Amino acid sequence: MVVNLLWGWIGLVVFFMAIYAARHLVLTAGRLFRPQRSAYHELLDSNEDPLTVLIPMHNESAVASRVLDLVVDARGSEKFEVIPIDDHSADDTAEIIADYASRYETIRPLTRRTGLRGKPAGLNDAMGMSSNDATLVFDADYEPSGDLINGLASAFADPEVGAVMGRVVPRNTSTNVLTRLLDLERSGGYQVDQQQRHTFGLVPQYGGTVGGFRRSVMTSLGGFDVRVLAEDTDATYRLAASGWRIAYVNWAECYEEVPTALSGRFKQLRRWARGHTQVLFRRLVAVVRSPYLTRWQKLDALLILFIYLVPPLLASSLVANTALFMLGEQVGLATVVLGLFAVAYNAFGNFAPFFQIGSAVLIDGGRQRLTLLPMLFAMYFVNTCAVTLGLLDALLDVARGRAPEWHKTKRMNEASA
Amino acid sequence: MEATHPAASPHETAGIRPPRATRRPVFSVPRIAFSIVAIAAFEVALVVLLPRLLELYAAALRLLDAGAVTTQEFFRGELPVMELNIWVPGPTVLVGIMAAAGVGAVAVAYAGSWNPMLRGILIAEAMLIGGAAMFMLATGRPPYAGDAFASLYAETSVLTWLVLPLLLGVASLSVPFRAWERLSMLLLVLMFGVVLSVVRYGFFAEALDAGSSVLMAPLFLNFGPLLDFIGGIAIFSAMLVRVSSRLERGDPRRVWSWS
Repeated sequence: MVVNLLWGWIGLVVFFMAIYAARHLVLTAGRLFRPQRSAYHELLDSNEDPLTVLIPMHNESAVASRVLDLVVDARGSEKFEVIPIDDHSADDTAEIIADYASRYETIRPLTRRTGLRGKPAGLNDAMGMSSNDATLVFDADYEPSGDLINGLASAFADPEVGAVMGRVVPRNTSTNVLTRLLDLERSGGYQVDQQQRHTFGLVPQYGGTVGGFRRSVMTSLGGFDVRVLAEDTDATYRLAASGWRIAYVNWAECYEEVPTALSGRFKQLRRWARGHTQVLFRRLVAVVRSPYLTRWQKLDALLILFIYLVPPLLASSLVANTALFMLGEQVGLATVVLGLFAVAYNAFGNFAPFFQIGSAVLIDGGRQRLTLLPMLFAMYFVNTCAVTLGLLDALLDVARGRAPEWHKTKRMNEASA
Repeated sequence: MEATHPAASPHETAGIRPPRATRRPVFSVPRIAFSIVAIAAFEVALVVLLPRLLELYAAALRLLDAGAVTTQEFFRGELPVMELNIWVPGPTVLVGIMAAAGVGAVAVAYAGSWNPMLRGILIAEAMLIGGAAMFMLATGRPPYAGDAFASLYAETSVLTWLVLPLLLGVASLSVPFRAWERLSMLLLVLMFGVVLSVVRYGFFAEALDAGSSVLMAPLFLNFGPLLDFIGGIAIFSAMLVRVSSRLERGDPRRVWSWS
């Protein structure tokens, strides 16, 4: 009986893993063999619609000047405003923003000292004072160029587009092995996964770090949900379930810092898993019942929503396999199959297997960093623990009805200070 | 309505690399078709030549001189099985192992200055060893007798030789390898698997003799097929570097599609 149950569990996990493997194979083949759907950059010359840029900041004195310098001159002041959101900062962020506001009329600061702290609450307040419908959001440690801002904004020329997402590229890749491995992950996630979801007409992820949305649409949906950690993922599925398209602009590259220490990566991954699972609980029914999504869009959306369940599932099947081994069952084939999955799927966050990452890096023009592909497996234990703890956090959120707390990601220059 | 942009003449685009956002490596359909046939042929040849490969495997194991080698019927051939001397510890030792594993796991968990990745691996290993000891204490027997474990190991190794080249061959279809590169990769993966299997067999024999049956699970589950896959992906990635260099050096019009 126990043996049958263990075998049954392993079979179930292998079945689910095979579905994900097929998904990644289809996306990778599509990216390599099918003509790519371009973004909206053909419209760049004619598109100068009014635009608002929001920059949420909490204790961002280390990076505030840089991001404001980059965005402030992106467009003429008549059709453009920048709203830096000082969200309960205790450092010099407010003074830096005030200094820029005194020098540039495009900057209209929002200072928050009361109410809930956190990105979604800040974005909701900023939408209230924004003058324009087309809205872009950048994290404070990002480096958006003028071309990038105009490129992302051009997506709103399409009236069906409710949100747009650009490509995130790590800029501190040469710091250590971890940052190089995270660079591989990002490459697989954006160059193949996001781009091909865009090409296939599926639902690319709107990420709140380098993307944008229509203020009118988000307002009509009730604004960003302040109770979820992954407000961007939540917005993605609310928009999609309501019939709005998410555009992905692969050439709109924006540079970010990835965690340089494994502890930072652990916390980040745990937070992502927690936020993503909160979204799964909240939006699953809406996605399944949406009259606007096609069958394939729903299937892909469901696979993405359930993606953080896979690492603990795989880990549980490895435990089941160990139990079968201890019981003296012949586990050769199961060990081969599960071992393959454990080695092949280690790019958590987007869950890209090695062949997808390899193809993405090849398209990106990477060379020596390709040799790091087998090293992704070294992060298996840390990643699985982080994701599993994130899932438990999400379950406890539901069980106890607790609201998540916001923690700011430590910037590299802060860490070295 | 026709596009109003004038098409660029060939000399205008010569040397220009398409932007990475939408470019794709050029694939030749006949080359892919040939590759599929070549991968299938490689797999068929592997199955046909398996008895001969198993003979070589047996000869290599005898050279190791780590234990007597017998054979058993397996998939069109004679599978070499090495006799393993495995020490089965008594209850007192098993309790000691459990205690040591528990204390070790807790100590590593609190060793904050250590690399978290290393700590994770060590804790997982300690839990595996402690769990194996607990299981043996409860059931009063090791998971496998020496010959059964040796047989399981050998069968799994051969299964991996058959499966891994096929999987990597399919995965490699997403990369514009040349046919000889693809076949070389599969051959390298197979050779790596065979050599690793021989060396690992010897290592297992020594470890189980010097250690105990408690090490069976950690050895098989951590250093079994997992190592083959990591090695296979390492070979795959090394070949990718070669392709990437070719894409970098080649005439952009021949190696990249604009979209």
